[in-house]
Amino acid sequence: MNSQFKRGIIELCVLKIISEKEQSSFEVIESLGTKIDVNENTIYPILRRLTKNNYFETYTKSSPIGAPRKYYKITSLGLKKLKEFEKEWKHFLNNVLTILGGD
Amino acid sequence: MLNEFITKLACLLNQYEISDQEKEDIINDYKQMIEDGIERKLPQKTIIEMIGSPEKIVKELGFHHKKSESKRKANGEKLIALSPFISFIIFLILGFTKELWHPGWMVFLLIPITAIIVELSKKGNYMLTALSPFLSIAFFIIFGSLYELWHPTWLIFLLIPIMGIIESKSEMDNKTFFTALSPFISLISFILLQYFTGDFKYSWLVFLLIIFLGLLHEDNRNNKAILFTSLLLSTILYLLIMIIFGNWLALLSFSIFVIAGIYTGNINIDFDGESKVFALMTIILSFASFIGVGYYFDLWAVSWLFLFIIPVSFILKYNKTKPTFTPLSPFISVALLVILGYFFNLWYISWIALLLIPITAIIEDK
Repeated sequence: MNSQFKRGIIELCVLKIISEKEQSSFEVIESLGTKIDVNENTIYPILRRLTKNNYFETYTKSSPIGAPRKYYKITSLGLKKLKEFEKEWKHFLNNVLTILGGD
Repeated sequence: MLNEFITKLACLLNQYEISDQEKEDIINDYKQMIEDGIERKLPQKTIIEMIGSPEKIVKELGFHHKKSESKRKANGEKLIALSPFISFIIFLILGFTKELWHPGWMVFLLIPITAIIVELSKKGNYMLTALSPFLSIAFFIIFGSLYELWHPTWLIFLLIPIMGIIESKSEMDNKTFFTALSPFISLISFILLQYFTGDFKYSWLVFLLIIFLGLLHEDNRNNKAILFTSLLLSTILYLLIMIIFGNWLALLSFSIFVIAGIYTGNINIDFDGESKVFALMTIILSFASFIGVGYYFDLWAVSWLFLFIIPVSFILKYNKTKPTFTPLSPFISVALLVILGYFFNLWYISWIALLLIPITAIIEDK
């Protein structure tokens, strides 16, 4: 699968799972890694980029080991972007399924 | 192993022009991820597998400017900024001391050449393609001025698409590479043969190279063998008839290849109703014009331009999307170049017609 295309899907998934539950980077990697075949190198950079774009905000929470952990929380802008992404993705998927359905 | 990961990551991040705060933030994030992994009692190897490799992470983070590159970029930008002044000084020196105002003005080509070399040396690809228009113009003007050989020196402009194909070789296999080059090789061979032999009547056969190479893309082995054999037979038969009888009807021998094409399904005119009539009429008209004008007026050197009727009329009829003139511009500019050059001996200036291609593309590009 085209890496650019895959990266777009991962962005959507990252937005979605953080919209459902605020998570740390490691938890995001764990959640995604168990569900889809994902390039582990890309997840943190995506999290960072989405945070820079103000789709996420971060806060820290204490942890039993080491320094406090950084958690990601979706912003209202992030939710808006997620809805847009979901709409585009569903539309795209419907069209693909329509084509494949012809077989 | 985990410490090595952090050290390596810090070392790689240090190579880039990023703030200390951002660097520290990234390293802390990875330290936290490692601690999360340890907390879950995961083996070190698994943690590393989950968070990735420092090299790939830094690449994915998308930092563009390495520290050394930034210095080089600054020097490069200085050089670009200085190039107009340097060119102007050289131009004045050449003009006042050697009376070389022409072709001394060509030193101004140094300005775009410097910019291209500086900018593309960072990316490391397509530099020759980007430089080829300027090198072609320089070669064309110098060679044309010195030897008054505007024709066939204009062929040097074909260096532009040829370099583009050569520098894109990594994106294609050998078969595609040679097929892509074949129209240019054929055209150059045809023009040179015409020029040096004085309208050699068999020189158009070099265009068969395009078809021969195109046939390599046929997947079916039997079809490939049939098409190759039929094209070879057609060519031999054509040559035999031409040599023995000298009759242009020899061209009909290529009907063997056409029949083989229809038989193997490679020639498949699949139009309906009005479209079928249009397609057939266009093809017949253009081939009839090519052969008729070539034979009766002995104008084979230009009559091949009638074959452009096929793509041009198809573009006009079926291309409903914009841009409108861009797809037509290669045909119009080549036709202008050849007509002005051949009939009015304006080869030294007719090459300007080729500039229509980028100009149209730029105007119509949104």
